[in-house]
Amino acid sequence: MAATTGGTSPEFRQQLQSEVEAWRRDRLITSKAARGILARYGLSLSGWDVSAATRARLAVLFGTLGGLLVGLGTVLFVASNWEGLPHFAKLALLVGAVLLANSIGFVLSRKNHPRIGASVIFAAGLVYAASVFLTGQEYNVSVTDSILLLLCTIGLLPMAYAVTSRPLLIAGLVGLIGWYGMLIDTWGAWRGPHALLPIAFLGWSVVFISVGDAENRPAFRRMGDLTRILGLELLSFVIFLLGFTEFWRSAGEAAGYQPAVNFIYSVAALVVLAVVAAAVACWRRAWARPALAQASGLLLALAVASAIILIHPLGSAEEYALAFNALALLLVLGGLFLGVTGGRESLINASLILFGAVVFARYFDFLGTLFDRSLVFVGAGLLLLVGGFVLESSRRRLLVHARRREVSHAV
Amino acid sequence: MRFRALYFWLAVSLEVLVVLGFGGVKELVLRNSQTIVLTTVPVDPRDLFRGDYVALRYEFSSVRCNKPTGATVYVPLWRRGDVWVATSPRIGGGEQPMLWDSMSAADGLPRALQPDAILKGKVTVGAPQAYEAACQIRFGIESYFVPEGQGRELERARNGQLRVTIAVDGFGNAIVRNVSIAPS
Repeated sequence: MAATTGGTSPEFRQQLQSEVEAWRRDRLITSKAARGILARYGLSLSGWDVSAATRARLAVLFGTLGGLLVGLGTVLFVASNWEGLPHFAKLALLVGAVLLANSIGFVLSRKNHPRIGASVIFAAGLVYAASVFLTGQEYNVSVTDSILLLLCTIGLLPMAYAVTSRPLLIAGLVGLIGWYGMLIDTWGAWRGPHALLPIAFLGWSVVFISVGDAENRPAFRRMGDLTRILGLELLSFVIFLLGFTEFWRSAGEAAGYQPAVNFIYSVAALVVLAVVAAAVACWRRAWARPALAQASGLLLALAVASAIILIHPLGSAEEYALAFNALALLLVLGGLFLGVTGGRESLINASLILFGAVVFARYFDFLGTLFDRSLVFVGAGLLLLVGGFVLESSRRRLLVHARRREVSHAV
Repeated sequence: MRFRALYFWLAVSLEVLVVLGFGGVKELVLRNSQTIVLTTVPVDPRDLFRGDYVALRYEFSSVRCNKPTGATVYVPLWRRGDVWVATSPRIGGGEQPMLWDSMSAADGLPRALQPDAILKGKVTVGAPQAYEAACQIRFGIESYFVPEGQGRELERARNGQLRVTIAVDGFGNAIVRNVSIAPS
């Protein structure tokens, strides 16, 4: 390919180099395409190459692991229960630690060390969470009090968006789900008729997926992708669990308990929130057909699951499990279709993971009693190997097709 | 990672406000409260990330009632010597701690029978409203964090040998101040 430098200004070539690097980082183009484009204009990859990318990834990995260790070490250090210091002094030390950690991360990020700075800011988030728990410890607040996780989430999520930090976003969203789980525990939700629990967590999954889809600002696209992926994984996990007969047997045994009113209100509120979030996601995507189809599919799945759970149309635990296995397969097919047509890798991956998990679980449910245990494990191992090869091959084909569609949409 | 300094420092300010606000609310309870002493029996698990802590239970942690799970209840306490108890022979209610739906239930009592303190709690395991059953209630005073290694000494105390000093404000909110072994 002949180089083309005539007629292009140095400013253009400089901007082109930085733009090509950004396209490669965002996976809009491959490494090979990036080198080809730059070579066409007589540019080399002296400022960026594969080894530099590898060093950058290692820096992020080491920094993140280091940040985790610093955060955990802070918790252990302060968990020795200081004696002799008044409450205000301990609070001041904790606030000081939060300010210091964040300040160091800020300075590093601004002094051409963005990746280490990001890791330090992640560690600062852990220090903040530790400060909340340790403040609770100072006043003998029980570790099972849901207020602690709520306060952690209130601080972590805005920081995650302020610095577009995906580790902090994961921590914040997990904290949010953990808060809800602890809150409903005070209402006896985990002891009572836990058939209502799936509706609650399906509602959360629809909220997360919709919030992720609604985030169409370029600067926050990765945050939206991660939120959507977490929602998809939560949805898959709940649907997967509902496919087990044992769950429905135990739900039937607990059917005599009356759920707490607050728990019922919270489930209803989550369903309403899910509908609102799905509508906002469709609006943010200009009511495009793929967005409407996905939102409709999610809300329909939530409605069908809720109807089955609340109306009890089926007779036995096996029938309920079968119904949710069928729903799981429908979600897989819908997810694959939308993923391929809409160029959404996350949908394809989540659908294949759910499919693999359901097939694996049902294989043992159906054949476990008919074969000798050793033959079952050998057979399962061979099945996994073959299944993994088939899934990876089909995943690659689907992803290639999805990426082609994603690039054509971007153009 | 991209960020703007303004949003970053706003988020840091929020984190600082949350920590200070949380501590400040608890400090308000401590400063606007009366101090009472309860007796309890501990169980001491070890929490890896928070050092040693003692799990505490009281005579009114389990009460027969027909309150649903999640209901807010109030337990009146009367001073008997150095400790406060949930059963008052002055009222003639027997040995069962009383559960009220609100603090204003004390208003209807004669002055001589007024409780000396009222604790606010939440029913964590309730009973069907048609009949009574043993309800579990939490008051936020079920944990006490001790310096590392000192939990064993408290664990060895049994049968009411532990005394828990708590601060109770005018709304029934309580915080544990101290746990000690009662003099024999």
